[in-house]
Amino acid sequence: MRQAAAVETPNVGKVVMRDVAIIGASAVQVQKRATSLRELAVLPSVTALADAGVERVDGLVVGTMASGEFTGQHHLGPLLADELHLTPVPAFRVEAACASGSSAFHVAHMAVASGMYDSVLVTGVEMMSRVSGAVASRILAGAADFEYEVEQGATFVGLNAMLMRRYLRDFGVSHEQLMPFAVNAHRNSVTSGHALMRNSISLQAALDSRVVADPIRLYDCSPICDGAASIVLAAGDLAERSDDAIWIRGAGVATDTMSFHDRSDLLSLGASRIAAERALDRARMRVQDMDLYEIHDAFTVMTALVLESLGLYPRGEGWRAAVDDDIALDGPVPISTFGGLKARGHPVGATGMYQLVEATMQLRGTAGANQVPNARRALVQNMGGTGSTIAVHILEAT
Amino acid sequence: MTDIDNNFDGRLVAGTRCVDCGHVRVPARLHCCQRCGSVALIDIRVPLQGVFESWTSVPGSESDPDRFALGLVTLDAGPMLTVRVRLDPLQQPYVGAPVSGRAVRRAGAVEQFWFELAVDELEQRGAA
Repeated sequence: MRQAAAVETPNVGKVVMRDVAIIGASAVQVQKRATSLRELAVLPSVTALADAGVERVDGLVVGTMASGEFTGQHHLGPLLADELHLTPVPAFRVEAACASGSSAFHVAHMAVASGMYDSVLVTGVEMMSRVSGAVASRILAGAADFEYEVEQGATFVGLNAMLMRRYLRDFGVSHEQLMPFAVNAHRNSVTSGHALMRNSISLQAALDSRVVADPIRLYDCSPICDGAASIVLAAGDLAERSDDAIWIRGAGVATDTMSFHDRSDLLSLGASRIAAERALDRARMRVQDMDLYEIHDAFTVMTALVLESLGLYPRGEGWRAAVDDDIALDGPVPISTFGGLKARGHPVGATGMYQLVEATMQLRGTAGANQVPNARRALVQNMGGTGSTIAVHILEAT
Repeated sequence: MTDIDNNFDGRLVAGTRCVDCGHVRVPARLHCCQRCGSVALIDIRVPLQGVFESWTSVPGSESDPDRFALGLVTLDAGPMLTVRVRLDPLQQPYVGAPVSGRAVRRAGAVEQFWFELAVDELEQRGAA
């Protein structure tokens, strides 16, 4: 066979890297009326640095999906470095659609683990509300294949609607069996200090909400909003000195076809399975060893598919987690513990960082009314596109 | 200009077939096979006929003359496409329904794929 050049990677997973820990974390309240991208990005960065007890870091990584399209502002690395008086710190932007935040975190983790830097500030930020809903939908569609999905009329809701139609049909599932994912997310958002929506909803009200793209209804979807969250990573003495360091035990990122229609199996998130296997393998843990799971619940059907991809439920049975309420804070598979993408909000490039900050709060025992009992280990899964990029991180309390 | 361009009629679109594994892809792959990685690709023309895999409504004005549904179609030649679907309000789509389409060329952009239910084939199936 005449194959494209393959690169040998004999050292992947074998090179000894330094242990890295989260020593500072902060998130602003998700909102719909932010006035300044700059302000959004600065606030959690300052608070995370204070939480870490450091004034300077060796590197800065910003995760954002489309700050240029949403606000006109590109080049967020030096913008944030300047505002924080961190220049001439090396600063970068990382983009991976809705997985931009966790991808930025992944890059920062690699930088510290490799020994290049001893400490890095990571901030995920997105300000989406300045543009109309229609324009936002068009910008978000850029996470799909622009020429062969978006130019054919696809939106993100549309792609997920077609996916949901097949999930319901192929597995004999009803809408009533998926919507409890949204009910759980809203239940947890009521006591979440940084959530966009702090209201509980009834299953019937969710099922009666307006159709957005048949069969998807409003409460199947996560909202457009503004937000930012930050974390300080450190290695060595700096991390050891922290009383409440949260250690990164495993990290895995994987990609899949850009177009949803090119998947060999429409109802399987292959990259999610692989990213989770990589992260768990590096952590030397099993998925069942986790005490909570912050997963990418952008649509109710995606929540079911993610749970299946992680190996927590068999194929076609992820919906059982919702129906059986396994996903409650005191259940065996707690998810969306502060409201998830559905109710905390989904400021796309910041979402992965919100998930990581929330997992950190859980493992530090500072989650208040949203605390998962005896939480020691967390799996954080974040998705870009319809599963084209997946990042999974395994966190553990000291 | 290639033979494919010279023969463009909208009912056939350019694709590639992998010599090694037989995988057919629309649009044409530029470098290597999506399935096996082989660089042994040949240009082919693929008929735009196949079956519905899924569909959804697309928000928009009811009076919009260009209103369409969004669909996933598996072509008889193998590849799946995301397409625009013109649906008669009286037609009820279903997974596996036969569809046919046309590629519409546009200046400075990739072609758009417009599909509709293959009524003749549906009627033939009904008669059978």
